[in-house]
Amino acid sequence: MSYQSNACDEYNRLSRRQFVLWSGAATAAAVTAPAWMPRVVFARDFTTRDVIVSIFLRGAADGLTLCVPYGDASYYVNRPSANAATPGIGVPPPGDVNGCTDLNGFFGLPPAMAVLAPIYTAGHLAIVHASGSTDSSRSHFDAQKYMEVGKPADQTIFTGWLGRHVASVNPADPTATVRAIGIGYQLQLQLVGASKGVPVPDLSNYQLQGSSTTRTARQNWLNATYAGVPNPVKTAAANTAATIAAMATVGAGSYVPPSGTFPYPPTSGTGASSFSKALKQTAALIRANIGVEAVAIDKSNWDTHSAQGVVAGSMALTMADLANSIRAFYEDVIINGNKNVTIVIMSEFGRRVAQNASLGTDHGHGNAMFVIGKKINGGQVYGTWPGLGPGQLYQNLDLQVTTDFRDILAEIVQDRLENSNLATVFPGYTPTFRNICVAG
Amino acid sequence: MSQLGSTLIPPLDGQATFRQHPSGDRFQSRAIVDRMTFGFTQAELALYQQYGFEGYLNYHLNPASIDDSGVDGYLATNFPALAFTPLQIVTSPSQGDLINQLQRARLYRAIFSKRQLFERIVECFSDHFNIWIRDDVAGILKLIDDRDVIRANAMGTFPAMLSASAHSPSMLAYLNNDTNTKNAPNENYARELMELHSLSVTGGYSQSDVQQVAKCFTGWTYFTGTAANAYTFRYNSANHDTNQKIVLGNIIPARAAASGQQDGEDVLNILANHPSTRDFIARKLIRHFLQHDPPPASLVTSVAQVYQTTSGNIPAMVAEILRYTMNNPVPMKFKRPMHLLVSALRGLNAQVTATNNLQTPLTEAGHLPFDWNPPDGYPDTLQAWTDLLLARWNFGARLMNSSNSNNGDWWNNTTLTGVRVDHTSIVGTATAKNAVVDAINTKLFNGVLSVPERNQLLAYLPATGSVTNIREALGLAVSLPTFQWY
Repeated sequence: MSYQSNACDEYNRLSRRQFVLWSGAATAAAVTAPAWMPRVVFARDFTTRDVIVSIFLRGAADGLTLCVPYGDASYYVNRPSANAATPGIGVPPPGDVNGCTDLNGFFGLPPAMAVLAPIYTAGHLAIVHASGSTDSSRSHFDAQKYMEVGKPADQTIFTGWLGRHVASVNPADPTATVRAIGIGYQLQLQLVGASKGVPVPDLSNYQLQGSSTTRTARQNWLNATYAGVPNPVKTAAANTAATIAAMATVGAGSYVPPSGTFPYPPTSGTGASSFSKALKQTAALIRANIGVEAVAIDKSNWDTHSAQGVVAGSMALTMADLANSIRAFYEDVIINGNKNVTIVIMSEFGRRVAQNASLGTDHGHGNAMFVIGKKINGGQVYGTWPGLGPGQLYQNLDLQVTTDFRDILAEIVQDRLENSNLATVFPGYTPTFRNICVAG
Repeated sequence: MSQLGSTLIPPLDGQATFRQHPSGDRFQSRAIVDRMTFGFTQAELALYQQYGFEGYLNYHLNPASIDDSGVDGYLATNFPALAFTPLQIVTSPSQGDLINQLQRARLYRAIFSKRQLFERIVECFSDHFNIWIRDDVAGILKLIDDRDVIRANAMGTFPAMLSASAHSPSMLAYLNNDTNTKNAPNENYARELMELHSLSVTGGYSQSDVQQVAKCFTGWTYFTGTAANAYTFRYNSANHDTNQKIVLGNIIPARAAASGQQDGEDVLNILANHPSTRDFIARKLIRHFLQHDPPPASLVTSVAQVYQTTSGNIPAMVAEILRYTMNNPVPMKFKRPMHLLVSALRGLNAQVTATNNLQTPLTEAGHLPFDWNPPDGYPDTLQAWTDLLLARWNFGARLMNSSNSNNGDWWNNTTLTGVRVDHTSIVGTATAKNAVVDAINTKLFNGVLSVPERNQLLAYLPATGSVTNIREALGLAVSLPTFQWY
């Protein structure tokens, strides 16, 4: 069985989009390209460029649960329904107890993610199934690395695709002192290489501690002292100082979303969600309009080798946190916000089609990506469905990859982030666009 | 500031141009003490000067001969859970307290134990065999794993530690081998055993090897219940796959279920004696003790040879690396946050009167012991740690916040008490700025501060420093670029 979305005209809009390449325009701007960067054409200053929020589900999220192919009979052969006499980890079909919410007659959202259905219906959520990296690695760490650097099996790239995007366009806001933030303790590899990119664990608590009397003097002292050291520490110090000042203007700690919007899961106290907190703070950041163009957020706890719990249990809780946080952010920022935002959600690889005896799933291959935004051709599940039956699986084990993740990201980079330097962002790859974005 | 730059050329991972420490006795003795320990102190310098390099190395290679009774006594009094049985741990009413005890003990040992090289080895293998302490039963049993796998074997052989880890309920639960059964094997442990613990991801195994190794380990789990053996290793023959397996080209014969545990033991032997494992462990130890990647090729070869000739003796491999520092240009390495915090507390002669706030600075820096979720352990790369400078600066910033008493709390904040620094232990009675800075330079840096950094400290002080001024200067000293590297 083959599921065809309407995106299968598969025509490459690279050529059609040539007219937007204002070659040479704006290159006089005071931007110094890093030495590693190949010839880059700075497009005109697209101040309407979307802010991108790139969410990485670490640990290999099970795409066959995030977006359930209930219409493929082999799904329930490999994973008996959770309602079966001997319950498996198959999410029941629509209409059954704990059944999924139908999307298009073939795929459905699991109960824990049903709150995303209105976004899909509104045409703002697109799902790309059987997508991912064509690299064969089932190592979390290699697979994450290749996906984040944007090139499979390449051990020689040390910057991320999103970082190279930021580095290869003029700032959307020329006065921005911070352009990219990775929420966390380390800058996510996908953001490495970004100009003015920093990791911030907590946007509401990013300041120099100690006596307020001497704080300015001490900060100035640190700035002067670190101005003399080589990179990467010198740049990190300058970014740190700029970010301290910027975060003081954001007020992430006191941010209140518009009344009446879908509530964020609790961000403090018992059962607090760090993911919800990260998204809520990102909302404050975007609303503050200080020129941050890219935000990377991680969500972990997807490595469900045992007791996966797709309806109630471990993965259901993780999915509910993901979906409720996204729904809140969507209503807060995408519907009611002041800037256009595109969200992309992906994971390093999917999981084994067949469940194991621990009622979990081992490392697999193909997966599902989620893309959300007002300027996304949503309400569709994109991709060619390769099937889950005998003879249809990758290495007889896993979901095949029929859409390279870079096809989706490259289209977002060009159409939503208005950056035509795709050879810089995804070196050595010619993407095929799937018409997932609304251009302009 | 150009001179400052010349003494501080960081290596860039993957594209490194290494610069060595400047030559000279003071640089070398500081570098050697810094590499053998969790941070330069006057006491360690005195030992090095007394024993010479080989004697000092030998001293640290024999931690059992070092009297550490002060620390042992503190731990026994304050962290009784370190001596618990697995059943006591699992049935404890306060799991959060147990987590705190292990994390605080880890930091206390790193700061105060005289067995400093031992503690550095423990740090390395705590990441190598990472277990996330918040992972339910698996996590809480890290208290046992830390004691019986990591610390028990740190001065032994790598194959013994690998085997102990494979029999550790904490590791088996963390990587789901406790539910790995013949009907549908769970590959998690098998994969990470080869990828992260032995061969490395490029070590030459296939997906088939992962599946075959998973079958070899079917039935490896732990006892539950409330008997004395609860939460200790159990081979459950009923869940074992008795068929023949082929692992990395080796035939693991079909065995009766009762003797099927030998399958896993065979696999551990194959992995421990595999050239990819020797190479991987050599690289990991060099990365931990010497420098960011890439390592000197000749040293990888020689450390791997030591592994081969000593059956994986860990102290022998570490000694090979440390001797290299004596005879070759020594590159600089960026301290990870815990290392930075511990080295600051050591250098400043900090007194810890209560450990309940020791974790806070590392929570903010993202480097709390045993709190890394995925199984690869905290990263040991330059890339991972250079961006979040603010948390590092705040180690020193909190120190400066304490103003008016010689033994004031380091963190003059009601929620961060219990860590004290007596600044006169560094600067004596000096108040003149030159004398203060000279004392800081000597005591914390062995006199190696560059002129620009020294001038920066001078610039912060008035001609005659108040107690507050002096304490702030000490806080800034551990924020200096030179203090970030070792």
